Amino acid sequence: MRRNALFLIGLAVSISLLVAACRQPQPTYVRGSDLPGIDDPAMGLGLDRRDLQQLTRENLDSFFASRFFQRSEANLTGPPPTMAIMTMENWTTEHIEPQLHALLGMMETEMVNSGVFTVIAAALRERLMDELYTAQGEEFDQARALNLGRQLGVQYFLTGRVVDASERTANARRIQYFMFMQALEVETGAIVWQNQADLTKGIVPL
Amino acid sequence: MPRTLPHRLSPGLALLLVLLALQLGACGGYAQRMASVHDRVDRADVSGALGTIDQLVGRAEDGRSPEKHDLPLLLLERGALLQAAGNHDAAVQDFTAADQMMEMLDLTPDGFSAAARYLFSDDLTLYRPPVYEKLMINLLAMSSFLHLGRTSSARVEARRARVLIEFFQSTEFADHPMIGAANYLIGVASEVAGDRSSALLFYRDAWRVAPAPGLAESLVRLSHGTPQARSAEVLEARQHLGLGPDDPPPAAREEIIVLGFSGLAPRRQAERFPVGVVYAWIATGDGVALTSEQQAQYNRIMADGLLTWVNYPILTRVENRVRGFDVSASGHSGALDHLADIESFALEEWDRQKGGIAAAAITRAITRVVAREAVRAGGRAAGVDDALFPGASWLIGAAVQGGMQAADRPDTRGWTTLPAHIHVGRIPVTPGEHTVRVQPRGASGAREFTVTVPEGGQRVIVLRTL
Repeated sequence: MRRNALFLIGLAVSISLLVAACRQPQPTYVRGSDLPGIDDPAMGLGLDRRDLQQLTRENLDSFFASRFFQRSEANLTGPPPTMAIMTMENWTTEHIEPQLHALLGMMETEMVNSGVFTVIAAALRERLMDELYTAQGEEFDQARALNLGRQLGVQYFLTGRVVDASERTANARRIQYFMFMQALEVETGAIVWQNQADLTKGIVPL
Repeated sequence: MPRTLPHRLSPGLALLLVLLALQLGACGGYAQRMASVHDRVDRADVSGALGTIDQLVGRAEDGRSPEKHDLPLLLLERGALLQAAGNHDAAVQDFTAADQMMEMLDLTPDGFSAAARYLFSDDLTLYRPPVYEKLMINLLAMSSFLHLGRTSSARVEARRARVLIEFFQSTEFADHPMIGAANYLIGVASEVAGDRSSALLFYRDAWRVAPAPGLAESLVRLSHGTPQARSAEVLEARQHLGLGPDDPPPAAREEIIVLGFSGLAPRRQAERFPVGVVYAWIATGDGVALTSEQQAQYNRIMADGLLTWVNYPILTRVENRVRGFDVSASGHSGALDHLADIESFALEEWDRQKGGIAAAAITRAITRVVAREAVRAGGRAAGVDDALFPGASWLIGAAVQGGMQAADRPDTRGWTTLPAHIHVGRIPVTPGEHTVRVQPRGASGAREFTVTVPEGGQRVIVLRTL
C-alpha cells in the first residue's frame, strides 16, 4: 500500500513539474504608466534613454556653466549667433547610432530654449552632413566642416563622439562609455568649450 | 561528472526520471530541425531555404519549443542565407541581433545543463560557439556593412571582433589561425573607414600570423612616415615586396576590395556508433576520463553485454561546389586569394572536443543501463511482479532505459550556413564608377556590381555563395 502511495506521489510530482514548465509568463504589451519602474532595468549594453539623459545633462550643464556660454549670453545684443549641432560619432563596440541621432533632438531643444544661439534648421544641417560625410570615412572632418560652415554662415559647431573601453572575461563584459562634446568657433577654428561625461554598463554574474 | 544512480530505484522515481528526460529532450535535435533547410541549401536553392528558415525563426520568436532555444543560431543561419541572397541590409539585422543573444549566452553559467549533459542528453547545455564561429558573426556583419558603404557600423563590428580577439589572447586560443584572418579583415574595415593608424596596427597583428593578400603592400604604405616604419613586421613586409628599408613605399591607390565567402562549414550529424569506438575517443580528450566508479560500471556492463551502441554527433564535410572566384574590373582580371579555411578550423576544433563528448555519451549510456538495472531491482523488491504480472519489473526497467534513450540527443547544434572559405582580392582602379564581375569557380551565377570609388579611397564588394 505504502509503495503504491509512493508511486502515485512520484507520478503526481512528475505531472506537476510538466504542468509548471508549461505555465510561463507570457509577453504582454504595457505602458510605462501601467508598470512603474519599467525604465529602471538595463536591457542591453547600448545606451537607453536614461543613459542618454545622464550623459547629455552632464555635458549640457557643463556647457551652460562655461565661460563661453556666459560670455555669449552677456554679449548678446543683436540676433543670436548660429550654431549647427552635428550628429555624434559612434566610436564604440555597440550599434548606438539611432540613440545618438535621438540625442540630437534633445540637444537642439536645450539650445533653442537657452535663447543664446540660433540653431540651424534640420534641412541645412542635413545638407552639411551630406557634404561632410560623403567623403570616405563617415567621420567628422574638422577642417572641411569649418570651410563649409563659413560658406553657409554657421558660426559655431557643436560636435561630439562617444568612445568606449570595452573588455570581457570568461564570465563578464564591461563597457565604459565616454561622451566627449565640444563647441568649435567657425571663424577661428578654436575649441571654445569641451567636456567629457562617462558611464559604465556591463553583463556581470549577480 | 555526476554520481551514479542508487542500486534500487522505486518505479515512481524511475517514472519521474523518464518523464524529466523526455520533457528536457522530447524533440529531435538541431540537425533534424534544420534538415529541410539543409536540403534546399545543398541544392543552392537560397530562396527556398530562406522560406523554410523564416518559419523556424517565426516559431522561435513566438516562443515555441523546441525552436525557441535555437533562436540565436537560427538568426545566424538566416543572416548567412540573406547574405547569399545579396540582401545585406536584412543580413546585418540578423547578425547583430544574434550577436547580442550569443554574448549573453556565452556569459551565462551552465551549471544545471552541464550536469544534465551527463545524465540525459548532450544538447541540454547552453550553446557555446567555437572561436571561429564567434569571430565570424562580427566579421560577416562587418563585411555586409562594408558592402553597404556603412563604414561607421562596420567599425563597430570590427571593434567587437577586436574585443573578442583580446579575450582569446588570454586563453588557450591565443594562436588560433582564425585570429590572423580576423585581424586582416578588421584592418581592411579600418583602412576603408580612413583610420590608417588603427589599420596599421591590425595589419601588423595579422602579419604576425601569416601574410595575406595585399597585406605587405598595405603595411609598407600605411607605416610610411610613422614610427612603425622600422618595426620588424614592416621590414619583413618590405622584404616580401623586394623593397629595401629606405625604398619609397608603393604609391597610394584607389581600390575595389572583393570579399568572397564560399561553401558551407562541416555540419554535425547524429550517428550510432559501437560503444567500444566511442569509448576509445575518450582518450583523445585532454584531461577527460571516466571516474573509477564509472570505469568499473563500464567494465561490468561491457562484460555482461548490456551496452552495444551509443548516439554520437559526428562532423561531416559538406561538398563545396565553389572552389574560388575570378574577378574582373576595368581591365584588371584575376582570381581572389584564399584567406581562411574555416572548414579545417572546424575539423580541428571538433577533434579537440571529441574526447569530452565521448565521455559524456558513455556516461549517459552507463546511466541508462544502471537505471534499468536499479528499476528492475527496485520493482522486484517492491513486489511489482506479484502485484501486476510476472516480469513487470523487467518490462518497466526496459521502458526506463528506452525512455531515457529516446530523450538522449547528440548535440548537433552549430552554425551550419557558415562559409567554409574566405577569399579576398584587391583590385587597383581609378577614381569613379566601375563595374565588377565576380564569377564563382565550379558553379554558375556570376554577379556584377557597380561601385563608385572615391579619390584616394576604397570600396568593398561582398559575394557569398553556398
